[in-house]
Formats: sequence, C-alpha cells, structure tokens
Amino acid sequence: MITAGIDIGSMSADVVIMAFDDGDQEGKIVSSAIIPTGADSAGTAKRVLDKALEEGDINPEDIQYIISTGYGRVIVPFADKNITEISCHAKGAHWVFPSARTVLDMGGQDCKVVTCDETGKVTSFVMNDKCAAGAGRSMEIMARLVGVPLESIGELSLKIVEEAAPVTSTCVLFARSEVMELMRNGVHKEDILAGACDALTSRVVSLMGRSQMEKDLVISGGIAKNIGVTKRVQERLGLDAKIPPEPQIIGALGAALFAREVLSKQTERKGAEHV
Amino acid sequence: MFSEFEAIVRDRYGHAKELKERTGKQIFGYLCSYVPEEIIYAAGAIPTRILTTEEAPTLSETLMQTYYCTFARSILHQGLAGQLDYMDGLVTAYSCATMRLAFENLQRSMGLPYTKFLYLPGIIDTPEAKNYYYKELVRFKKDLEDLFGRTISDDDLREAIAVYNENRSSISELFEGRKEAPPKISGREAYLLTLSSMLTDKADHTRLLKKLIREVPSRESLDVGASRVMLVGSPVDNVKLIDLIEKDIGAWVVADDTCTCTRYACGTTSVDQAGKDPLRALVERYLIARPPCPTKHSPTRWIQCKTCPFRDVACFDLKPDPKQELPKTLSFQTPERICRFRHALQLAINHKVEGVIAVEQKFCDPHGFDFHHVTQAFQHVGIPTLFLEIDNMVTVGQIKTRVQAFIEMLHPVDYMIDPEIRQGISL
Repeated sequence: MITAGIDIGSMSADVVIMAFDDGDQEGKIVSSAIIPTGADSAGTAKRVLDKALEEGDINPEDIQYIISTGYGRVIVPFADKNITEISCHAKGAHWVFPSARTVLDMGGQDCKVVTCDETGKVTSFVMNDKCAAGAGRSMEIMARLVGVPLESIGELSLKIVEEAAPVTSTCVLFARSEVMELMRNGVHKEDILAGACDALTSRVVSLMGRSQMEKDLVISGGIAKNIGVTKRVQERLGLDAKIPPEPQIIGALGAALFAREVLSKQTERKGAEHV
Repeated sequence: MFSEFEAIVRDRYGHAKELKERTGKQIFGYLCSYVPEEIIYAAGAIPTRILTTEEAPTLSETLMQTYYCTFARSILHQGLAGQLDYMDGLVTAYSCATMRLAFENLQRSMGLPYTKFLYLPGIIDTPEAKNYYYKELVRFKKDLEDLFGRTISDDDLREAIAVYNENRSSISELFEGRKEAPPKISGREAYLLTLSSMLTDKADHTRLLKKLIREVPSRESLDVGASRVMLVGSPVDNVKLIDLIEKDIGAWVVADDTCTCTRYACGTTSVDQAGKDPLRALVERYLIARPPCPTKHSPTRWIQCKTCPFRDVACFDLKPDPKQELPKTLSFQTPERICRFRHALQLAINHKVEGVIAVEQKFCDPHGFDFHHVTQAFQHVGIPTLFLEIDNMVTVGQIKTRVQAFIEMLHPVDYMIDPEIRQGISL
C-alpha cells in the first residue's frame, strides 16, 4: 500500500510518501518534499506533491490514499480526508521516536504542545494564542531586519558578544520596533538575535508549563532547525529533547500514517459487509 | 419548522419592531438572565434580551477599551449605532463589572424613558441574599407600577409566571431529546429555540414550541455523529460556533451549561402554595432553582471544600476513577444551597457527553477564572475538556483546528472513516 501525507503550513508545504507491505503497520518513507507555501495553497499542494512523486520516481496512480493536514488542509483538492496537525505531529513523532510522549511543534505561525500515549494517540494539547509571537514568522522577520539568512539565526544567537539584548514585546510588530531601536543604538546583531531567541523560548516554555508534559520530548516543525531556540528550550526545561533528522516533515509523516490506518479500516469494514 | 425560530434570531430588530406594532406593547431590553422578566411581562411590556451581532463593535471603543469582552462591547455598539432604538426601557441585574459598564453607558447615551439596574448580591443562596433581592424586586415592581400608572396585582404576576413556566418547561421537554443517540434535537436547534424565546413574546413562542413537540417524534433522525460534546462557559449566542462543531466537524452538541441555552430554560417558578407571594417565588426561581453563573458561585468555594458552605453537595464525593459506575442522578440543589459543578456533571452524565468544550468570550474574567475548576470537575468523571477562546468568531481557522483536534483525540481513527461506513460502528 502506498499513501501520502501533505501538510500545508503557513510558511512551508511538506509531503511524505510512504510504502507499506501487506500487514505491515510500520512502513517506510519512500519520498518527501518541502517547498514554501505560496499565496495559492491549492497550487502549492499540487506542486509539492509533484516534487515528491518525481524525486521518488513514483506514479501518481499508485498512491491509494492521501490525507492533508495543517492550516491549508481543507483546500487540498486531491486529499481523501483531512486531519489536524495536532493529531499528525503526535503520530509522526511517535513513529520516529516510539518513546515520545510530548511533542513541541514550532511552526510558522503557531506553536503547540501535544501529549500522547504509548500508541501515539493524542491525550491533550495546548496551542499559543492567536498571534505569531513564539513562532517561525517572528524569526523570519528578525532575520530580515538584522540582515542575515534565516538558517544562520540559531548559530549566530549563540555567539553572544556582550549580552543578550532584551526583547520584551510579545507582539511581533512591537518587537520589530524594539529591535530597530537596538540596531540604531549599535547593539551587535548576535546579541539582538540572542534576545529574540530568548524571548521566543520564554513564550514556548510558558506554553509547556500549561501542558501536561511528560518525557520523552520531541521537537518538530521548522523552528526545530534553529539551534538557538532548541538549545535554549532544553536548558530552560532542564531536559534533553529528541529532534528528528527532518523536523519539518513530521506533520506530513503523521498524515501518511493516518492514511494507511483509515484506508485499512475502511477496506476491512467493506470486506466485513460483503461476507 | 426551525426556520420560524431562526428568523426571529436573525432579524431580531425587525421582529421586535413588528411585535411592538402588532401588540401595542412596550419593548423592554434586558442584558442578563438574572432579570426576572415575569415582572416586566406582568406590567404589560415585552422583555427581549440584547444579544450580540457579528458587526465589529467599533462605536463602543470610545467608551470601553478593546480589552473588555466583545459580548458587552457589541451590546454597547448596537445601542450607540441606534439599532436598539425600538426599546422603551432597559433593565439588567448585576452580573459582572463589564456588563455593568455596558449598561451604564447605554443608560447615559440612549436617553431611554426608563432604565433599571437591579442590584444582585455576589452570593445568592443565603437567606440574606434572598431577602435583599426580594426587596429589589418589590422596588422594581413599584417602579413599573408608577411608570405604567397601574397596579401589578399578585394575579397579574401569577399569570406571567404561568406563561414563563410553560415556555421553560416546553423547552426542557424538547431538550430531553438531546439525551438520545443520535439526538432528536441538534445543538443548533437547541440554541435557536432558547435564543428565539428570549427575543419574542413568550406566549407566542410557546405556541411554536407546542407545535414542534408534536412534530418531533415523526422527524427523520439525525445522522450518527462523530462524538457527543457539551458546551460550558461564557454566553454563546452565535450559532456559527455550533455549526462549526456540528456541520464542519460532525460532532453533536448534546448538552450545555450556558446562560443562552440550558441555564436559561432550567427551573420553573413554583407558586403552588396558596397565598405565597409571587415575588418570593420569583426570588426562589432566579436564585436557587436555576443553575448559577460563575459570577454568583465562586469556584474557590468548591476547592476549599473543608470550609465550603456547600460541602455536602459539592462534587468531591464522586469517584475519581472513570471506570467506576457513576451515580445515575446528581442533585445540584438542596432547599438552601446550590452547586454549579454538580449541575454541569449531572448534565454531562445524563446526556452521555464524551468531551466538554469550555468556551470563553475573550477577556471574560468570570469564565476565564473558572476553566481550571471546570476541568478538574470533569476530570473526576473521566471527561476531557478543551478550552476555547472565542471573539465574535473572527479566527474561525484556529477555532476549527482546536475543535477538530479535540474530536480526533476522542475518537482517533473511527471518526475519519466515511460516514456511510461508520454507521455500523458504535462510537
């Protein structure tokens, strides 16, 4: 059985294609792709799936079931079902690390803490408030403002020159004004980025405090690639987190796993009716 | 059938104006479900509740900061925008400081011939509180007598009470159908019934209800839903939220503890005892017979069980193990005392609720403070809760993600199977 999961996030669109042998529940990833989400979500969905199909040399007709997730989950025209990213991140993280009981997903415009049981089933979740504070979009804005590539923020933020500059506003737009003020005052960009990463970490840690967190902790989503944040989060919580090799596809991976489960159950059910 | 109820809710201003023209009666707006509408009705006016609209409450911003709840701000906005000009009077009872601010601003800006703020104590189930509210009601009645230039007799009051009792018990009778699986009455319908009841003449409304009661048994049954959920918390008066849960996600709202639905319809006024003062009977209904709101029943009274005056009715005696068999009935009231949490648990058990959605109108302090305790109460019986902040439904996307994830949590994969195949699966 071949299934696909597609995660249309606010900043990136990700696809995972999985193959399962008969009776196999574990499966393996046969292809994956990540592209930025454009203004046209439906078109983005098509493009990212095509990319994964091409890279895995897979025939589109071979995909038996597709589940979409993420903010754009309802506008993927070719998806059979949609499931929230909350269920999918727990599922995906649990597949990569079976010991996972808490998943911290730091995405483009929100941040969530999901707890799950030993089967990867969600037991509770909390999400940040409506604004993008504590999410990827704020990091993107800071990178542009300071004039460094997004990917290098984490490393730079750890090379503090004098001391981390305080960035206190929760609102990204106010934080942006604060950072502009710091730049005018000649504060080193490393110190500004350290302050921005500290601020984001505080937000995430207080969210963790509201959750029913248990070990092991897995960090997923785009910000999991930012060592400046992941290192600080682990320090503040006083525990080691597990970070998947490609944290950005965890939602899509969970969706592909759900696709197998739903399809198997439907087939089983239909079979039972025919008997 | 429901279109008649829906039309009243949708075109509430038009309906009120039409009602006024048709009956020649005055229309009194009121803001809170603690206002004893029966007295207004007995005086010959029609009380209609002011509910929110989806219009951005921009005009309220000069008088109220944007960090007050949208429920109060929307009400003030409607008054300032002239949308409530059909009203002849405005009444409220003290619930929270925000609603009081909305009321006072309307009072000052609308120039209505009659306004009344009923002082309602913060603790309501003591003899002192009952006496206090009784005296408030006596003064209120006197006010209305002066205003309308006629005496409101005990018989007038008894007549109004009978009209209201019949309406409330008809709604409660229909709500029995929410216990069934699948429910006979959807959450959307339940809310439309109660909301429309607040917006029209009660006698007319009861006639519609009676018709519905006759029709319900022969109705086609509703689909097998994905899950059975209950709403608790701040006033919910926008059925779009219910639609999102029921239509978009497929879970039925089978119960609620909100003042815009079940809490409004709960509890009738008992005037059985011959010679009993109808105003005293009204005090009993409003302070004891209906479940209280968090502004009148502090959660800390429950967690400090040892000193809690309600300890004999509080829920700590429930078995915390969800596998234990639950008591079939829980009473939330004794002659003198009431417990809100027990009432909510009772509803959840009777209506076979699987998950509870605790709704908070953004910046609604009483319900915000309450959430932690609500969660604890439901944890006692193994029912998970979701905290959902709403704000005139502006960010439907995030609300949908939260609710959908909650339903997925309750029913992992079965919920996602095609409905026609799902029919046979017991969820």
